[in-house]
Amino acid sequence: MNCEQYKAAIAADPSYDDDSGHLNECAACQSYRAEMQALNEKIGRALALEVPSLEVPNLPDIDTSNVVSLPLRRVTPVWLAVAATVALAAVFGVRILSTDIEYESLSDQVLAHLDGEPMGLRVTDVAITDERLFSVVPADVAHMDHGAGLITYAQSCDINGKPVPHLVIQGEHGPITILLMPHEYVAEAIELNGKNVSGVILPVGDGSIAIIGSRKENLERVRNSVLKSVMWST
Amino acid sequence: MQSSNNAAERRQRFDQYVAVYHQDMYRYAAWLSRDKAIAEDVVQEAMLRAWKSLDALRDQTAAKPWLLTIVRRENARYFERKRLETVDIDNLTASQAALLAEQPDEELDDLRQALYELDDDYREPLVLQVLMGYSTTEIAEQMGLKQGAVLTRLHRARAKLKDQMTRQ
Repeated sequence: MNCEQYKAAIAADPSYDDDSGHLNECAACQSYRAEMQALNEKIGRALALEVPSLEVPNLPDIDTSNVVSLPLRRVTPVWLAVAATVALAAVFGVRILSTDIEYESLSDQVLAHLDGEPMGLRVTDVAITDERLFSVVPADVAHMDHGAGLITYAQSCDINGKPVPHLVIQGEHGPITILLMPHEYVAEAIELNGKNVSGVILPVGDGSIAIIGSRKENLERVRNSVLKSVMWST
Repeated sequence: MQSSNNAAERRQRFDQYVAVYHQDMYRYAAWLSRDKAIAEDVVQEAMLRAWKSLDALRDQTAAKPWLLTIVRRENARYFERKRLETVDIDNLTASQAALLAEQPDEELDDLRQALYELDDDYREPLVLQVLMGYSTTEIAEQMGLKQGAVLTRLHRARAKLKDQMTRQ
């Protein structure tokens, strides 16, 4: 691969992973890559328009007498939330909030919670055991497989006085935190914005899932894989 | 009884999808139409159409591309119905201008303006990739293009934006 080919590839997809070794040997392409990734991060912010609140139109009655119910998996697309974490907060100086502050909103609580779990911020390639995963995500709360990515941290935490499985997977740009919150209902997706982290709280049935990672992380892709790997039990 | 259960389940499923994907639907519509008011209309129409054809969606993990495809078609229908003229960047309506006046951030404002001025052919794959997290294969499928064409458009789109931002 030469410089021209590499630049075309990285401009088409800034997450492009060069396996030819060209990048390691070419300072100009390293610089171009950094430039493209920075531009891409800004494009993402520029495209993220404010969204008006959800208004569902009047829906006509549909005759469902001949409709066959979907199999069990229908329940709720489960979303993985990821919260890229404390490490990020520590490294990038995201806000650190003291524990005695009363948080006004679920999003504040989620962001604040990340700051209190430094172990979740470790960059590691050591996966937790299935036993650990099942103990933190009990079968009566949700089922989760390893499809979301390498799960390196699992801890039962507390949000609003209720137990919340706190998981971390390793993303391309650092740890991504996922909080499974079966008791925290949100009407629609809530975006999370820290100084250098971003994420979302997604409505999932009667609960929600928070996903937070580095701003550079492609959380959409993470979200989709989490959706496929998590299923509420209730 | 079975029928009313089906109806309730159906409604629950629909509510779940739109709650999760409403933001994606709106932003996609807004960048397709470049007009916030039109985006709201398109999303309303798309929700209605999704409701009517919900039973066609058998794989819930495909809900997002399914809804975005509906938005795309509704947007095309909207412009077909209205036969709107090409937008003149120097003569925007209030709802078109609103799209450019989001956050008070000079750098983002300039970039948003540059995105606004990109050809539709370049802007749409960029929105799908950056905002929706689509792979180039998925973009190709959504837009009915070959993957090579998608890569070329994305490359050119970023090159144009980079040029524009460098000049400013």
